[in-house]
Amino acid sequence: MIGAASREVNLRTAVSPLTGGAIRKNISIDDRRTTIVLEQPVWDGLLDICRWEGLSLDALCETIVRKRGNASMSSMLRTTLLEYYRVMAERPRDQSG
Amino acid sequence: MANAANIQGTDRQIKNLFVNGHRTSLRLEMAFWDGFETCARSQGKSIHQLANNARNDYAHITSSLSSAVRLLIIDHFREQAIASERSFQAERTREANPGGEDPVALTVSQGQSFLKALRRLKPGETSGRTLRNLLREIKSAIDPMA
Repeated sequence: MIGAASREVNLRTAVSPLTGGAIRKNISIDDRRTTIVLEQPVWDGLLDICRWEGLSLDALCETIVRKRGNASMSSMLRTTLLEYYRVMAERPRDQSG
Repeated sequence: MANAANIQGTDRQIKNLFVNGHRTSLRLEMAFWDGFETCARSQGKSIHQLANNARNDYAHITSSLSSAVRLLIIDHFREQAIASERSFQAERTREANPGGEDPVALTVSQGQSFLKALRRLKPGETSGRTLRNLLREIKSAIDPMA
């Protein structure tokens, strides 16, 4: 019998056929709940930013998504994560003094 | 099409790639194409080779080539960011506590840089480059090392 237990194992270990392995999260933006689908490492990265910046995931996503213009929420979140890392990576090391 | 795609970093552009001997097309945000090329240059590989690596390395996470490529790019810059933050923290630790070995803690050395940067952006002005310039500006304002 294929029950809840095996479905749980699939969700955790296998690439979901429905979302291509992406993870859905419910995020509150401007007091409205919305569902955002992103890959797990992207969510992990956004949670890293939350930790470094002292923000909740809702507050972070809200701030980013409000600036998205015509872009999709997921595009805006992914792009912001990438640019955040790129700026962090650029920290000048040889200009102390 | 190329012009339209240049307006926003989050706009997507399609390019052709050869992955595993097959010609395929990939649709990515401009910021990711830019990151992809930078990433390829710094690893001394072509974007075609990197796309092939991404497909294999991220097969356990995603079945989509564009997702896999984005994850590869994000991981590349994440590693660089962590290395950079690590050396920055180590420098600080050495100054404050010579000889002491601190486990790397990625803490809030950038403060609320992110929020400040984003609040200054106008909606729709969110090209990767604009965002990066703002973050850079704010970082140098709060970063005592800069």
